[in-house]
Amino acid sequence: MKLAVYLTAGYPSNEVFGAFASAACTAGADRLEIGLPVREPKYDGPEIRRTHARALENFSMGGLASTLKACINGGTEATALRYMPDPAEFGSILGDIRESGIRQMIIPDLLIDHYEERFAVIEQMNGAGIEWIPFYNPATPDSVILETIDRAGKWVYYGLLPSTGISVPTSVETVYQRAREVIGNREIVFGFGIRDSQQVSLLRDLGADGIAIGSALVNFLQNSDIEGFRNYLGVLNAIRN
Amino acid sequence: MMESYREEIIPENWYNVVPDLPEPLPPPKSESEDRSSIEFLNRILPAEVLRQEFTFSRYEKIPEEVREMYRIVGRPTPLIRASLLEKKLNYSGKIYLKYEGATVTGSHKINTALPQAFYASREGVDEVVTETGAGQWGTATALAAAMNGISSKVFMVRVSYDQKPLRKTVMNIYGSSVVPSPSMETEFGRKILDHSMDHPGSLGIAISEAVEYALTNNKRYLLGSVMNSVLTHQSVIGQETIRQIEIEGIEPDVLIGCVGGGSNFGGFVFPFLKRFRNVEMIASTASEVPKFSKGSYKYDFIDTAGILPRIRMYSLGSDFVPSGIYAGGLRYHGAAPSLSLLVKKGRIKSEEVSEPEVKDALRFFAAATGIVAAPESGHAIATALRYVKGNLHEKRNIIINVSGHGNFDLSIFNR
Repeated sequence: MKLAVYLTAGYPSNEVFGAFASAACTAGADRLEIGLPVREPKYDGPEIRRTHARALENFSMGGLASTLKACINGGTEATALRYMPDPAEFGSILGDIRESGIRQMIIPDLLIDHYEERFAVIEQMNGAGIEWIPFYNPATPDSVILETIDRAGKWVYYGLLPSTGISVPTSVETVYQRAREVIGNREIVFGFGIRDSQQVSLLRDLGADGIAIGSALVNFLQNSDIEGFRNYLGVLNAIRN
Repeated sequence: MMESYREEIIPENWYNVVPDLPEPLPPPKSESEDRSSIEFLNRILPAEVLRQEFTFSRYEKIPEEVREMYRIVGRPTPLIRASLLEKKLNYSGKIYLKYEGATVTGSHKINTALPQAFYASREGVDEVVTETGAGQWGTATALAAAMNGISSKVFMVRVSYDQKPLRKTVMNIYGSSVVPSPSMETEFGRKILDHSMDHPGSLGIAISEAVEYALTNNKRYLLGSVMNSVLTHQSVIGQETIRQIEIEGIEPDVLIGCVGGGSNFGGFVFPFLKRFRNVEMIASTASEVPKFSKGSYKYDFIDTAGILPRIRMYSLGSDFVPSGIYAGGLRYHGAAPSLSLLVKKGRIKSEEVSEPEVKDALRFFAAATGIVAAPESGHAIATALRYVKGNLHEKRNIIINVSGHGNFDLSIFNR
């Protein structure tokens, strides 16, 4: 089972972010999910919201390429996660993402708040040499998955909960089975609300292709606790492998 | 014989429409960087209700205990061919009534109160709390709590509390403690009374009080409408209707119901969506609470105090206080997200009816069916009468969801 590590670019500073990104890659992360900070991270929980607010003060796309270079050369895939930009900015943001060496992008609000434009947006991404990584969740109707899945890049992000970093009761088995039934054999990475080792084992046993971890890491970044971060990823590695 | 026939009509699963919607349902939102108001729901709702809310399983098994309680309270409710009404209107088609007023509490509200109270009691909660506008939801909660062996407390919108003392009596008989809202029992209520001692109250305020009470006293709050889990529980209405029309041997052409928060309507029509793709669906609301025509489709708070998350729905604003209209159950400022989405997409049409037309319709309807329907249901009836008058020579099968009886609302006829 793969591990995707989510970090908000520029949080808590460009240096600390860069050090943690490198540490994630050497600690075995298969994917880096790089959140590009925005003012309104609509569907994120409190921890990630805080990282966006702080990162906006520091972040510029310029330094991202050098930060990610070693990781990408070492075989870790990088995916940008960005809420839908204004149409006027979209082209230049796609250009910046590509410049950074990233070839995949998640737009978490695309199917929710920009449903009518979905195909045009995906085409624009593809035209810029960026794969569309869909973000689905249990509130995504089956028909919506079926009509968009053919446009997806090599994997699919599936959010278990309505927001990141929160804990509310849900039936992981039921959610997993429905996702698998509709999405088929494609690679599904589950995220949103994964915190404890029990959930990770459960997803592994069910047959998930990957897990994404984000909110659970924010404290390590906030405290520049890179050792704690490595240990945490070590625990996840032990469960997932 | 009769009992086993009835039990076959009560469905074994609830149906959740979300996996079958035409577009993704926008998630609830919480903007705070300190705490998530979504996670906060853990502290006020029964865990199983929350699990159903966020799992979005197309089918959710109805616990046997709940099915048994459904039977005891009068499910399945009858599907009645209103042939005298057809004759009186000179209508060429057929009119059927799904009569939710036939439950022991007199409305559809018991369909979700029973499972919510059941889950709360199984989780060890000793008291549930809620709000009520017209009194139907409070009555259902009071009985559901009693049947599950726990206590209940109901914050009743003051204007209804004053106008409908008998509702309060029924809730008291079931063992519930009823207080008029705004009340002195919560900080939110006290704040409002500080500004205006004779505030008539609103559903949004009563929800805020009930939520605050649940939170400060570690009780569980029962949801009367709007949330997806509630509409899922209400799907027993539509599923039963489908079985009943199969027995009757008819195809549905038009479904009409009234909308407050949207639970009776959603529960009635959603089970039809996949199988009967061309069936016409009309949501009837009060002209005095014009959420679909004058409200906007936006993220808004469920409650006036803004304790609960924001959800995307048609809303007139969470501080909307309607004039003291005759149909308390339709006073809510918003409508369920799934229903709102389907109205926005044009799959469900909406119509508005005002008080005089509703009263005329209720009288006309009562004389032909014997049912003195609730004023809320009167909107569905008035919309159906309009529909028939505009399509007299069509042979369409119309089904009206009559969500409740109006035996406690007779004072509207003296206004």
